[in-house]
Amino acid sequence: MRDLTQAELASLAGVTRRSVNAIETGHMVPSVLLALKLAHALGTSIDTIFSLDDDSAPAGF
Amino acid sequence: MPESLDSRPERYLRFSHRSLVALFIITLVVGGLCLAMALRPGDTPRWMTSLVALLPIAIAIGVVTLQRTTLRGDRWDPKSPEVQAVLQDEWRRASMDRAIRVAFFVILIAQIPIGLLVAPLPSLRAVMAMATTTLTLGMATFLALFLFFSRQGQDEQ
Repeated sequence: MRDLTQAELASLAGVTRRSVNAIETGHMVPSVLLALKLAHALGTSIDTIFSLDDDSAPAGF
Repeated sequence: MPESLDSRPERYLRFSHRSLVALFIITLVVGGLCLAMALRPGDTPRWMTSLVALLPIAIAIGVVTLQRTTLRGDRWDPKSPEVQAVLQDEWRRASMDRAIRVAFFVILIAQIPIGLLVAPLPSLRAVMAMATTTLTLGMATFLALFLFFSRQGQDEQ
């Protein structure tokens, strides 16, 4: 997985740093499209950065 | 200031945020003036009507000042990738959806007290006052909540 700052990741995924921060802190669940973009920007797959928690709700990375 | 907090997308985000704060203030001023005119049409002070005429000039000066201080020479080009990132940002859209939902319920609930407040007025003025209050309340609630939601947890790590 690539080592990026929030700003760099946001720029690569075409969103603002606030979205990346909101996903990291668990305030927001991204759309499938954004999750794919983030995974692509980080050079990994979706299931590496997102997983289901005990309540079967998507959790942030 | 760290580079990431002073980059172009961050500047566009700040510009968008400050523009919405300005719009919130304008909404309250214009809504208040219109409500005053609807409630007491003959008694509206002259300075209030002059203020309405000066508002477009004040808005133009405000926009130029905001651009100079926040964008630092950059233009708000809706086709640029940075502006697209701000406008299509998922956190911004989620905050907007939440704010719209709450503002809608606030407007619905407020109809009864507003109706009771304007009931003693003649019918035409009552309708105008009710419409003005509903629009102002709805816009102000939406903008205030959107600004609040979109800033929630922004720098938590």
